[in-house]
Amino acid sequence: MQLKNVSLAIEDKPVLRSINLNWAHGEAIALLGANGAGKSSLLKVMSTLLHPSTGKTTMPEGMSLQKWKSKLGVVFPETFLYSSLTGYENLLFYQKLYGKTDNEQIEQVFNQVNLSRVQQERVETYSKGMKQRLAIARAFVHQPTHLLLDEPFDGLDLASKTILERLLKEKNKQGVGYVLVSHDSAHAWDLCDRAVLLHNGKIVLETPCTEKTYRSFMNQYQGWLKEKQHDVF
Amino acid sequence: MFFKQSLLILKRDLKIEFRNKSLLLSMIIFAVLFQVFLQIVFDANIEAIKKIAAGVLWIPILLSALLGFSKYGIAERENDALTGLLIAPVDRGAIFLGKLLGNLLFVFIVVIISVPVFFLFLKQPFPESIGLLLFTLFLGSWGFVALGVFFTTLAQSSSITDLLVPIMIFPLAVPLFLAISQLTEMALYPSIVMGQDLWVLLLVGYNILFTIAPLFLFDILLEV
Ligand SMILES: Nc1ncnc2c1ncn2[C@@H]1O[C@H](COP(=O)(O)OP(=O)(O)O)[C@@H](O)[C@H]1O
Ligand SMILES: [Mg+2]
Repeated sequence: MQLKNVSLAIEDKPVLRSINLNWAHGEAIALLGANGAGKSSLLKVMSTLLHPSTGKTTMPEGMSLQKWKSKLGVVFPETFLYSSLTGYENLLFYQKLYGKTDNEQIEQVFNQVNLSRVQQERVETYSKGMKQRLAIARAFVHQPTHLLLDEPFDGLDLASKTILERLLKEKNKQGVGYVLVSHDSAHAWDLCDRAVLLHNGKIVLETPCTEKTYRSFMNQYQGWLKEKQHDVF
Repeated sequence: MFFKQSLLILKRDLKIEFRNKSLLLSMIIFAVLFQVFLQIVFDANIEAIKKIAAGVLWIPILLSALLGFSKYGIAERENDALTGLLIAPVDRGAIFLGKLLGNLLFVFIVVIISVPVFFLFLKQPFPESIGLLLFTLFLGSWGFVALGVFFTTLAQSSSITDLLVPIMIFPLAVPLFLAISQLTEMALYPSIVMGQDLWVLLLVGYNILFTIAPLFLFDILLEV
């Protein structure tokens, strides 16, 4: 997907400014930045939930909007889960919503997030971490090729973090691309091909994620964090 | 795909409702209580109730439907599940249709229970025309529910608050109220027969408008 000169204002407040971003098929992008930098808003634009105020988003290879949506898997801060339904019913609902019925796939994602034991229990009985893992399973249940992940590691314990890391690496090998928002740059570095730093709604830094680039990225990141917000413009 | 998704949303709502048993039960109790109350108020005067019978029959149903609208989006509001629907390749018209069918089902159940209560208390045991009465009950509640679900869906995905929905509904509901009050009077009592076809036409047209138009309108109205 391609973003060209995308700007977004919410209630007259500029949130994104002239974003140019090219997300190649299968590419893993880490989207970093301080709180309020506009990371979540950028993901919402990419998911077509929000429309840019100016600028243009282009779907890959002339995909239609519906096609793009069907290829997209999303983990946002909210889980989108129905708490009086069981874990299994939730996944079944979301899978069917995407026009699929594939019980094996459901079994598989339950295994992948280590929730098979509780899949017949209502979500309201789950712990926070279990809900987050189910939300991750929900994002995978229709076998998307593109993932938008807004701090998916939030609320996960160490073991679950490892599970998700492994899952992302495995999916990436199979050609699934993702945009990963995280406030832990060191952690994200290990999971991305390219890192993008967002500051006050602007992309201020882009670099490939290698061991060599990490130190200089972090130095600049810290520099941006120290900047007072209004000094940038 | 469109209808499958509507049915999927309907089935999910019914499953959630079946587990929590909150909405339908309160709608029924509300309608029946109100029906009984109105009957008690007018019990003393049979001639008086003749003049307002249509109102006594309908008010509990309409208010009970309004109660349904206000609880309309609860399943989607929790955990922002609405966004889960909107990022999926789902037409908003399909969401509307699923919600419409669920609300209709509940209101029809309310009608089935509260209308017999009406006749139980009324001293005149039989309506003049059962056919016309059933027709009016069916299309009248359908029209009101379609209008209500349309506005609630609109409110849900824009900046209009839920509180404003009943206020916005009422001006548009006036033609519907006229049609159902006239037709119900004709169905209940023999003496008044005037312009029946016209009211039937209005009712049918109203239903078609508020059922079909929203199926296509949402994406135009909301993708601004
Ligand atoms: N619905 C909204 N209404 C008003 N302001 C918003 C809304 N959503 C986001 N913002 C503003 O946009 C900016 C970016 O927010 P967000 O994208 O959530 O940042 P991040 O995810 O990087 O923390 C913030 O300053 C926030 O206040
Ligand atoms: Mg955020």
